[in-house]
Amino acid sequence: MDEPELNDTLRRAVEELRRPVSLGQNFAPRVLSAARRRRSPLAGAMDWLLRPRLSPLGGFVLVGAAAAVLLLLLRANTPAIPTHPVTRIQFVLRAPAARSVTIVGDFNNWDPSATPLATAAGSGGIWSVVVPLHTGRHEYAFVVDGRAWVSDPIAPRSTDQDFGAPNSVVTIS
Amino acid sequence: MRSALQRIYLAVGATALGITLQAGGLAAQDQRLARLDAATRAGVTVVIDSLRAGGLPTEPLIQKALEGASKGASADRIVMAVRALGRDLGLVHALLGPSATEAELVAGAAAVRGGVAGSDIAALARLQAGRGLLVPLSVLAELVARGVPVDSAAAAVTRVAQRGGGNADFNTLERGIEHDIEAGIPAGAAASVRAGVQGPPIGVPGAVNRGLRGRPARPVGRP
Repeated sequence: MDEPELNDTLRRAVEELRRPVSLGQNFAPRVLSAARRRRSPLAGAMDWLLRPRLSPLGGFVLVGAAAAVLLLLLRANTPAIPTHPVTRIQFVLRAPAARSVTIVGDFNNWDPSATPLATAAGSGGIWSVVVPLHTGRHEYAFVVDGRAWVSDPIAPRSTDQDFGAPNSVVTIS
Repeated sequence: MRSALQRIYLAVGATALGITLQAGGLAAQDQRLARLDAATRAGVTVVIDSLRAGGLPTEPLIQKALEGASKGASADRIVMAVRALGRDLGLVHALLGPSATEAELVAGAAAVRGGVAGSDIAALARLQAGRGLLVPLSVLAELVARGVPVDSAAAAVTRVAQRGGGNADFNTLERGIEHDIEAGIPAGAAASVRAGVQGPPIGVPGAVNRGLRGRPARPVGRP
């Protein structure tokens, strides 16, 4: 490019740069409106969360927090491991006419289906089961044929009768 | 376009939030109470929260509610029973202090339910300091349930404690009284006689199974 051509190019560039820029009639109100608009706290939090970071440590912190909460959740769902000594106790009931016998108590959440008793042919209707119990005073009852609640005939009775027939009691010390 | 790191933040954050909400729900309400209807559960939860705030064990209340549910009791009856147990546990906790175990509180509550006075339980606690209250309180509750007048039962158990008796001695007392009642002796008289006469057997090793009090429940291997 020779000098006259260069001067001409520069002149046209300068003219172009000096020409006023048209921003339109609504430019100023739109800018002011956007400046006045406040962002919600949630949007701010999302901006913070999604803001690119140089260090991935923030992600590790979140993973650690999630793991801690998960451990708490698993602990809440897992039955507590007995810290007291456990004694295996045999419960026995004579019920010759029974078709099924279960035991319910504060050691199995009073669930009539949780702990069935077994009987052997020729035993004369002797039903029995072994249950691990920890130290404490436990109340229980037998459920015969799924409907009849029966106290243990040779065990101490409970003092309360909140729900009808009294329960039987066994104390492990 | 979001970066991979942003996506990880979002996924982990959402997961942590979900797990936290679920864990919070579990902590606030025991899953076993789902067996109760909504009204019963609400009433029982109020009592449980109250005892938990006071530092008392809540498992006995949960078991009482589950017992009622399994027996088909009405909501009012279940809530009433749970409230009564909570009240008794609170009373015994106040009498025995914060060092009392859950088992002792439960046994004490059973004694209170049978009509034993708080002063008798406090006196027994003083005599048994450092030796445990589970068995004496349990024996006391069971004697009352057996028909022994409260004053006679409390006096008999207190007498054994005054002698420095151990768990075996309380068990021997109960069995002796039961034997006498079955023989036709009035319950009150049986308690008085056994409490007064029973002296020498205290401390005899192997007299009874120290870990077991209910006759039908036998440790495995025992005939």
